Amino acid sequence: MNQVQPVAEIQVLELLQAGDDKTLKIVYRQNYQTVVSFILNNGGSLQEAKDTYQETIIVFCEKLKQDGFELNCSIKTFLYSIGRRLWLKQLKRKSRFTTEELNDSEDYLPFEEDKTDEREEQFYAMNQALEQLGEPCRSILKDFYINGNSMEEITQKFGYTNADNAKNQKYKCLKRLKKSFFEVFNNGLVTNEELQRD
Amino acid sequence: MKNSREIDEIIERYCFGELTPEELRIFEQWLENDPQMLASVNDFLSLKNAFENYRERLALKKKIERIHEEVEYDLFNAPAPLKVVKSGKSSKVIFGKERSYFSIAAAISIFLLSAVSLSLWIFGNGSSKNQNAYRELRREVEKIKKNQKEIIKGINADDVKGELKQFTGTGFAITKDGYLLTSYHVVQDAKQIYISNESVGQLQAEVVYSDKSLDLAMLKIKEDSFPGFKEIPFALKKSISDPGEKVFTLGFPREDLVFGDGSISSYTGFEGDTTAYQISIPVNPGNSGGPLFDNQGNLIGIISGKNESVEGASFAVKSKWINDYINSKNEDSAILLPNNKLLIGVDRATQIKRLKEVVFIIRVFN
Repeated sequence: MNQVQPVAEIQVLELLQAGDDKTLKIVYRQNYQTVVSFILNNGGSLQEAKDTYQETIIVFCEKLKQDGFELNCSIKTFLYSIGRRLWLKQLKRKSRFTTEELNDSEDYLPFEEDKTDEREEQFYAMNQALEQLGEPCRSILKDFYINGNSMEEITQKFGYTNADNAKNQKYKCLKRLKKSFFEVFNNGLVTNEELQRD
Repeated sequence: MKNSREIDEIIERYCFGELTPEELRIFEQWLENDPQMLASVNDFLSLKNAFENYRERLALKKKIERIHEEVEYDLFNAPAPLKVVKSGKSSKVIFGKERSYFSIAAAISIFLLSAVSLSLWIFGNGSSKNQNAYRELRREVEKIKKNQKEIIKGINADDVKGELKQFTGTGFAITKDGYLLTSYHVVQDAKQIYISNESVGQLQAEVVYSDKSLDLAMLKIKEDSFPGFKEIPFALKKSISDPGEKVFTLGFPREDLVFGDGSISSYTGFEGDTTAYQISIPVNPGNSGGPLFDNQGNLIGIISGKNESVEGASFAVKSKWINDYINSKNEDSAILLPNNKLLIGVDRATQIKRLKEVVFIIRVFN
């Protein structure tokens, strides 16, 4: 675990932190197999493995941006640890996780719960809530709160007779979204203890 | 008294900082006295935060998906190597070069000498396969390693080592319930095997049995939900085909199905290997494990390798041996060898249309 980080990796991290996409591409390619193989070896399909790996990279990018971020291991170990943890959570959600030992091919870091976890859960809950919503609610809310479209644009796009009708619709949609978002968010949290219990 | 929609709108405007100073003053007073209102504000703030987070992640996701697309070819398509036969350096080069310097007599003696050494080479290698000549082309993701080195010099090469490798090859179904054939060297040491084509999508498969010396492996589709194939249109030919017969193959040297045709050139494969034919179809890594059909669409072999130093000399394991091998393994007759005549007397395009349903790209993780 206490690997000395190669000097080159520090440069890689700096490039990544500066938002260098070319470097991200290299890191993506270089670590793909390690994480994907782990998931394939632990009951995941290729699609799940790919999705989880991409989420791993997202979490990695988010962690890089956190203040005072410091990496005490190789990027590979770090990504493997993130991917491993994400996959554990995924197994929990599917509740097909058994007490069987995970099939590990690498060393990994035990993670403390931190901000990125909350963001993960938030994203997951938001995604679920939006999916449950159905149309036109999903598109209206996405257009307004995510794509930053104005109410006038939305009124036109969805063919409402006036802005007030559109606002009323948005209000109803948001109410529903709020309900399902908090439902998923509050129930769906997989805590650190839960992950470590097994 | 305001209705709930109006209250929600005020909360929203408050959270987005859109209230006028006058409204703000009144609202903050209200907040102080109404804990329920405060909870609603906090809920909205969480929601707003979740929207922002969602937007950021979505953008990041898009970017990563794009990166994935850019590197996908490298990740998935290190083609399963063909067995490549490479003869030792031929004496032809020396002969041609030296002729201008030496007398004819000298040239003849050199010719004799090289003829002797050539025959020595042939006899010397007659019994056992020449390790150098019969190289298995397990091509790894060399390209990736090289690019990495080019872009970030000095990055630890160890990072690439020890990772699971991926290969691709070709395979085809021989029974409706999901038994497939491919080359042994395609699925050698495989931890996970996926087959895919246009009609079935992607399915997981496993090796049922395999034979290294014949370079043959039988796979079975693992998925419970797999409904079975509509039909296996061809028949497996149990007798030997003759040189000169027109043959064709379908395979995945790249992401899409590629057709190749030629004819049988010899009864025997590399170094007189009687279990294989030599064929004149140009094949590439990724073609390994592909079916070889005759004009009537009968399965007569499986593509296994090629001779690196001779253009257009490829090899295919004979169907007779495949038949014998399966029968030897298949005492309870669980596997019925295909014996359909749907391709006889049909033009090539129609044959391929039917065959492509049962030919797959095989992705192997090992």
